[in-house]
Amino acid sequence: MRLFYAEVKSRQEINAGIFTVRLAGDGRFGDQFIPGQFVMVGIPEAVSHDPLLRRPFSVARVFASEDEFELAIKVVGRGTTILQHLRPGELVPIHGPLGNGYPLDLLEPPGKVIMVAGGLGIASLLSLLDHCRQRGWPLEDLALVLGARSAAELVYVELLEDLARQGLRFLLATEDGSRGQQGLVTAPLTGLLAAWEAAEPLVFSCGPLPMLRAVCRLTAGRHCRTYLSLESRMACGFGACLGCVTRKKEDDGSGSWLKVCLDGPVFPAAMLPW
Amino acid sequence: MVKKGKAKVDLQVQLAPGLVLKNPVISASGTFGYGREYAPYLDLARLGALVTKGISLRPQRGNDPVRIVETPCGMLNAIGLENIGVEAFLARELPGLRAAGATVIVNIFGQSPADYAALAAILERETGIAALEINISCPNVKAGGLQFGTDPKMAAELVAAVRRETSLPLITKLTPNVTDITDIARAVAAAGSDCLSLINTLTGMAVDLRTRKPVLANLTGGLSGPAIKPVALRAVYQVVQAVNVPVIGIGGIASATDALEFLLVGAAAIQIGTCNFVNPAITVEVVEGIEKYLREQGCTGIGEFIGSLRLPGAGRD
Repeated sequence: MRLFYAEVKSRQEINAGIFTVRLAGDGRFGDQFIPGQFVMVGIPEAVSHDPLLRRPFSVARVFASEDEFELAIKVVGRGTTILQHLRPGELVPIHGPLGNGYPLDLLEPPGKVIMVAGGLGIASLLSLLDHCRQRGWPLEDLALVLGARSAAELVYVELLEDLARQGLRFLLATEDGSRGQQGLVTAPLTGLLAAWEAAEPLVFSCGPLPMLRAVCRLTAGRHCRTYLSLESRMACGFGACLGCVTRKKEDDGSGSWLKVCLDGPVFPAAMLPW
Repeated sequence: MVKKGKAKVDLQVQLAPGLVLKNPVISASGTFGYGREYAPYLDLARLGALVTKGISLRPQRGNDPVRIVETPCGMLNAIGLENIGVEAFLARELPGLRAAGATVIVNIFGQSPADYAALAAILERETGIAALEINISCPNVKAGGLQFGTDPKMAAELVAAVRRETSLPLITKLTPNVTDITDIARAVAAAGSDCLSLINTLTGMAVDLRTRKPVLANLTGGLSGPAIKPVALRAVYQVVQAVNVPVIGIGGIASATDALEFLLVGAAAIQIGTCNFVNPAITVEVVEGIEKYLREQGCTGIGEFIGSLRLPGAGRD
């Protein structure tokens, strides 16, 4: 993990309240990054300590040759509103990459990989998809199921549709039916699991908690290994504040917690209580 | 006369007969883990001292999440003193801190004066512990901590019980959640505390208008960060006037300037807490900033600066 100021290279509004920002690394960011890791982003205008804390964001893409990386951010409060107005050339305090990332030792072809993303959860899984492609995984053996409330909350869809034309199994669902099939990711995921179960796929999911729970339920008892990337409030991102803890499976109320920042954010589904 | 900008500034401060720190910058309990978490970011030996997370006789699980929430210029926490217990601390954490050359202050808490005394007796036997900080001020647990810190008589009895068990230098950490902090300060100093540290967090609350629920699972939490600095500065100033033991200033320190303000009102040292989360290397940066300022001011030792506040009507200005 590293502490540095990253220069804003570009920023792109995706939809109302969602934007991507491309930042310069510190020369070694790309070498150190493991897909699924996150960065703590400081709020550059917070000279009077308001907002005080850094915010965690998944790294969506790393551009290795330029040592640049991209975040996808949804505006939810004052901090993200300030980040939304970043201009190229401005400097942003970055701490990272942090967290464990996806289990790279398992991520070697051949085999099938299913990625299930909800909303901005696509950011974390896009870095995984990139990794799989770099490892030479045939796109035909990779599936990405993306869900959101509406088309306005979708990011990276054009990129994914382009990959779909090259062979990626790309399934899209919105709750209001404004793009893709109407409903939750669970419907297309159920079909995909049935079709791919014989190949004992790896399943990775990142998104809202109800979706992660549903993915757990759908994959439980099937021939697949499931990993979930969690979100949590965190003050530090490196294991010091103990603010981000989450419950372990078979927690009888006396044991220790899982730290989302340090033990995660990626956990095998078997470690979690749902 | 030594030329400005060239002189070496002596940053050493004495907090107790057996406790001299190389500089006045200490990491605050509960924000610095067991020290190990910060080793990738700084040389732990460069700190005046580090204070461990609060340690109890047995491991403690802490509160359910949600445990933290950001507030203007600060945050509320209700971690609930989660810790690995004294046995695991001595076996797993202390050896690494000793090897790193850190000056280690162990923060202790319990549910009764007997718990605190038992912890002191255990830690007394260990090498590599510079002092104990007695936590009588955590607002986030039902039993222990704060209940001792708001009653001068109980606080004094607890400090006396610890004092009987150890010759280690004792620091008592005080809560601001009282009407007059100097009452407690005088009581614990008289009971044998070598030094006082203040302030712990202020109790606070956050609610979510959308869900109409409290944000923290514990309902209330402790407010920390730059938001509380003026309250802390006032409390330190008052306590410095009230007692004859050294005072460690804590509360919202985010820069060398903030640290110097506490030293100016008479703090013999300072602790940095919440801002470690934002910048894990801040403690060392504050050491450097204090040294630079004092050098620019032409001081040869930090003692010349501590408590040099100019009060209206008291001097030439």
